[in-house]
Amino acid sequence: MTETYTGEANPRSMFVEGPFGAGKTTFALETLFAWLDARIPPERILVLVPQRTLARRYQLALRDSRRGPAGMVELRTLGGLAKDACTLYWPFIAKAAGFSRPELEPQFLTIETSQYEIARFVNTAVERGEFDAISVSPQQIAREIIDSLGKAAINELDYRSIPERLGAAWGPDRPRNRLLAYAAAGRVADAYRTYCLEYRLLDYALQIEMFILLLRQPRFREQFFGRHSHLIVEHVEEESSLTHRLVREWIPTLQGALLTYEWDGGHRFVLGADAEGGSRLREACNGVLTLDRSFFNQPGVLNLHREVACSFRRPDVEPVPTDEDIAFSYRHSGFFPEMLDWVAGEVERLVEQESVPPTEIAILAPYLSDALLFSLGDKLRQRGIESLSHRPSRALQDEPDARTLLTLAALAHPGWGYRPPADDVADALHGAIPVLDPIRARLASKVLYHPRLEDLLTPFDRVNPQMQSRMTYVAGQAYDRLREWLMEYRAGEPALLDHFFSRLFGEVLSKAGFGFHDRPEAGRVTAELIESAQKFRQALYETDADPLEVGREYHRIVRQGLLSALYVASWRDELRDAVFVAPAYTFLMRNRPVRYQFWLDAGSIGWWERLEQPLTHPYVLSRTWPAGQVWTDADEFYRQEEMLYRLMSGLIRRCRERIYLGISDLGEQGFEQRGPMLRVFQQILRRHPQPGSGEN
Amino acid sequence: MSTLRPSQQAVIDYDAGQMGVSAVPGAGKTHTLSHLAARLVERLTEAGVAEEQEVLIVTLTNSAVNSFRSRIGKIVQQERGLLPYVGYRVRTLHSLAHDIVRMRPALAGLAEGFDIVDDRTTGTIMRDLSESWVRNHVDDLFDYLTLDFADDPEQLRWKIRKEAPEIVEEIAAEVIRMAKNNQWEPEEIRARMEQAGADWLLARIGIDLYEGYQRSLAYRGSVDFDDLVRLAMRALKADHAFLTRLQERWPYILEDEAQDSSKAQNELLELLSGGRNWVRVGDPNQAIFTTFTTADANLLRNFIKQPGVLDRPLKESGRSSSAIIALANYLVEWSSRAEALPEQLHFALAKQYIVPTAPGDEQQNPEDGQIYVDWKPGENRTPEAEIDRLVKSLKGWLPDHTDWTVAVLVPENSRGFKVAEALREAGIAYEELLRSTSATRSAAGLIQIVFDFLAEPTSSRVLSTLYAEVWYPRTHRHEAADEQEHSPDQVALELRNLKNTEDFLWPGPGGDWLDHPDNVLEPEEIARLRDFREAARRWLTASILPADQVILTISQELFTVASDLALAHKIALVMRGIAQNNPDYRLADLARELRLIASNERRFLGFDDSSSGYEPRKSVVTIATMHAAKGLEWDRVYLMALNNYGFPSAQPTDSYRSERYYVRDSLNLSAEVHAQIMAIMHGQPDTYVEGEASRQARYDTAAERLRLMYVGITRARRDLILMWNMGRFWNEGRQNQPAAALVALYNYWIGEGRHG
Repeated sequence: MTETYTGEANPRSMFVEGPFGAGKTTFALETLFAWLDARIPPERILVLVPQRTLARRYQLALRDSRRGPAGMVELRTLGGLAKDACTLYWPFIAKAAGFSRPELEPQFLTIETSQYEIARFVNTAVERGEFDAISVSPQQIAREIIDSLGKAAINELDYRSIPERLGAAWGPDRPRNRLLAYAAAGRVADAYRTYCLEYRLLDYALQIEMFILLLRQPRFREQFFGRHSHLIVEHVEEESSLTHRLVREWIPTLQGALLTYEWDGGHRFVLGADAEGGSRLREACNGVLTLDRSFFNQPGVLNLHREVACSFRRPDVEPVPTDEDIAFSYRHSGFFPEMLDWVAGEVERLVEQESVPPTEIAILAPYLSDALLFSLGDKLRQRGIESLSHRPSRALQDEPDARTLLTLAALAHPGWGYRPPADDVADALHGAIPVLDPIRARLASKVLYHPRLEDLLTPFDRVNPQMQSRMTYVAGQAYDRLREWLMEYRAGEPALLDHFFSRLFGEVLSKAGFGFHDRPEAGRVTAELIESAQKFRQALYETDADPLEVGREYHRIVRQGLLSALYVASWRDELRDAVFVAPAYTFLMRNRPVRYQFWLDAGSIGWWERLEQPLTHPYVLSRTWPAGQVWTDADEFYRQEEMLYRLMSGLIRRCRERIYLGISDLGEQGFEQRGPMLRVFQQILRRHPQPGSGEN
Repeated sequence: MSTLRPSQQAVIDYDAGQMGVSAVPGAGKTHTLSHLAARLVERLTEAGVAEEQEVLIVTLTNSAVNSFRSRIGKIVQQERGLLPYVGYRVRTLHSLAHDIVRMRPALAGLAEGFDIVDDRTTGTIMRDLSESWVRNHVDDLFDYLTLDFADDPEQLRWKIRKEAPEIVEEIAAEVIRMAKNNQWEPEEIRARMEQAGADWLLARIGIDLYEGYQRSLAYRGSVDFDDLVRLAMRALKADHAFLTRLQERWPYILEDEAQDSSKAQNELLELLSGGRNWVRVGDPNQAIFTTFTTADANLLRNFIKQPGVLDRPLKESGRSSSAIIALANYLVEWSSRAEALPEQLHFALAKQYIVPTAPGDEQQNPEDGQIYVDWKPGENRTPEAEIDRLVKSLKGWLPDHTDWTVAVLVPENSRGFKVAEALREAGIAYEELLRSTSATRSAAGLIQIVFDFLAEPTSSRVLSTLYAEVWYPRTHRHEAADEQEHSPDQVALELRNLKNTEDFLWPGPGGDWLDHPDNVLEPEEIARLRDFREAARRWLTASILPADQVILTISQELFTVASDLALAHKIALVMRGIAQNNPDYRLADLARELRLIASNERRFLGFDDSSSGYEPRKSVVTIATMHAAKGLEWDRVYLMALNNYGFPSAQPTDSYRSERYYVRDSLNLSAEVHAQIMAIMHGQPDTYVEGEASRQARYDTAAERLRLMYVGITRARRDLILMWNMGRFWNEGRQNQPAAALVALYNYWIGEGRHG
């Protein structure tokens, strides 16, 4: 190991830095176990991570260490700490924070429910033409305002200063009507904040702001800092300036602290990561350990890293000698599906001929459209290879099992005033009653479903025998059981929707002869739907709200595709032997290296992360950006280049053996692809021609 | 490198600065421009900046983009030994604007994942807005209408109410188009209108709908094609440093088809070139996209005349026979002085004559062939008779000319469809280039039939169509027609007579229709049907998935050609968007949407699998509009329907598409609203005089149609047949006359032309 240490002989706090794969986390884990072995009580130790996926190695190591109560070591994110603080200290802080009726409990909003709540204010402003200066959908406006609020909070900026900061960065020479849009966003944010304060709704920004407020209270500080004696902060380069300030104040109170810092990181900049601020934390530590060599990458991959750095003109980097291997291959295809075929074929070759476990392969793209995800998954499946996607969310209505449940819920609640279309009823009958094939399900929906009648569903024996025979009597029996259950439910008081789903699943659909019987996948979807309905209810309604009204609203917004399931990949998923398909940044934050990576659509401009947004800006709304300074084209360009370099560097560092580039001349939408990553590889190819690759 | 004639070499010797190249038809414009681009790429490569800088080539159509790209790629790779596709970028105006906007979307006020709406969506938005306007204001429109000649004014009123949304939509479309081309925001026009105190109805309609239209787009987070150009300009003007960066990236700009350059394109390229290296190539006499766009043929002419601009004309052409060249040159000459034409039309064609190539030139003009003007004084001909004569001529000619290429060129699509129908009936092989690519239609059409089935699987009629039009042709595509023992017809008929489709698709125990003793099908057909059943079941089972996934699933089975698969992928993305915007849509609605794509009712980004554009096949008749024929050539060409409706010459007897018979004083409302908005935006409301714009529009249309005829004539290499008809309404007192130019060409040809 190439390591350099500077600092005190027995440091209480240590800053460990280096590239990915140099052993930083291994070192941190050894330190953690040393603390545990030294009888430090596990509950006095906190591991702080930028996001939950980065806690995974700690979870596994603690589980496998067989150190008994070691599982009590706390693994948290800053958001988690803030939320806990808000819950615990609500009665003491609510009034000072401006909430009305602090004696009542607060409700925590997720990103989705925050967007739902702000939508009413956005829509009114859009209808008044206040956002005419930009061509952005109301949903996107809502997203960007919520995003700005979060950014302001995490950077300890007053959210009321957002329009001014954005306006100053827009500059005096550009069209003035953009300032009207910033001002409108400011008014929406104000109205939304007032509403949140009145109804005790805590979105992410408010949780952070309350946490900051609490940190100013000596009593809270005493309790908060006194709770842990040892702290590990993983990936400080991915943390916000608020975390950095917190850690800086925290270190002097601790008996042991260890901070890890990955070079060329800061990938979560859109979420407020401040890599430079993270780097400065070394000054707060008593010792700095530098591990400067990666043990993970093979020489060809290290050469590729060097070549990429060279193309980006990084200082002190020389090109690799021409006779050395550069571990990448590429294929130039005319059309997008051709590229996918090539990728699927290469994956198959690796798995079949070179015995590479699928879990050692990652397929990465700048964006993952639904069509791309489905198409690639299908091509791999046809080759007998499983794939695992890590999409953050997927619309519930796209899950056939969820749609079955939702349609049956509509049939059980005529009071909602919504009559599902006959096609949906056919799909639901097919989903609920397996003996009804798709055609017979259509027939059944045609003859048994009457949206204009009060009962909606006719008993099977009321239709003529010829039709009964076409649908089959076995199906008829199952149908009648389902119908009777729905009728019985309707006769009583409407239940909360999550309870309804739970009962429908438990009492009917999971029974033998019904569609969810013995299908764990259907069980998972049901559980997700229950959780989603429950969260929606808890976040937006008082406990005594009318279940019918709550159910109607939930059903409406799911139908409109506005609410996504909170999809959290289970550990079971992660253990599957499957190829991982994900957006590049998601892969980085998962922090699990692989032997082979495929980069899809290398010509896409999507690899180039855009910083400026119509109503928000990760840099301008950061603490380090001088208020009043104009964001210029050079700022945009150079920061984009820097981010692209960091992204490529981060990905290559997480690849052991080879990177495959899929280049499609025309992108998914049919436009020719000329993104910046191509230029980087063209330069490398010019230095190291590859006769083996080329056109499809 | 193939030999270049001196005039071409003079273009390629270009070093820097601004240059204008006026090229006659067949002068080797694409060839020369490709060589120039390759040379400039080489220069950038030598300077070691080919990754950072690019030669930017801007052309008019997607197929021209493909053609340039591959030609330049070949020269760069084969003749100069460089990497293909590096160091240059070929774009249409819209795709260039898209590139620019995608680099800095926020600068243009767009979010990262902005969407470009297709014509279906813009059509729906416009229709909704127009109908809503008409509901509230239809009576205002009556001021512009005439009820004089109606037998039953009430009935006419009813008809007008019915057609009013279309009139309103047309007016609004014109305002939106011109506003976007001039980068005028709705509020800006409204403010100027109020300032000018000009409360004109047509302008008001335009602005109201423009406002509503933009808001609808913004609500979807979308832009339309014209917005792309406007927003690219906005971004470049908003940030000078961004403009400078792009100017550095594209040190050379080569513009093809510059005669059709719009004001927006002119401005965008002017901005990007920064007054430095800009080469504009075109033929002023082939400016045929000006009337329905904002293109202006004078832009190129004026550019070439500017001091400091190098003038490098390409006058020689080896494409056509001397006789055809003489005829085309005569059209130019005649139009510049003909007394039969109003003076305003004397400048329709620039006095630029085609010169045959010199002896020893690599491309020698072909021998003279047949030229026939199929009109005689006093002769009348119905549209049906014109097509009959065409079919007869082709039937007689084709067998003796199997190694010739031949095209029938028509003024508009509807005539082309009629020709196609007649050729099909006569058993003559043809290909059509009418509106969107046929690949778009066939791929979308097949997916649509599958969706029809998924929406209605209990219909035996739909099941039968699925088999006959999708399954059978796709699974037997490798069998030549004469090798096919069985036609799908018998099986399709049996399927159509099926009482309950589930007896075939999902039979219960003992109820399989295929095993029924009365079944008359051959064992081979039954085996085929079993495969078909498996596929149909798979698709039905998949139909519960979201629309895009259904399309991807079925297209995997239906298509093998890469471009079809790519197109299906794109259709999947579009359908996903439609389904998301319309959460209540179900399979039947989506099938209807697919039908719109399949039947050409909207512009759809097609994927063309040929990189060199369309190549006419020998002894297969190409049917195309004269517009679509631009850039192409055939040994023999028929030009049809050369009458004064398609080719007016501003005579009192001419009639115009854009003038509706129930609008008073023959007003062209689009032209009038255009003039109103111009007057408002120039702050000179007094300059608007009703009717003047309509009169000017007639001259503009007549001039463009003359150029269109010139384009048609110059597509022919050896044989040229000019035809005409009296129009559909000849027996309703609205008989069309032969075009004035046709008569002039006839007189020329029977006189000096043939003997000269």
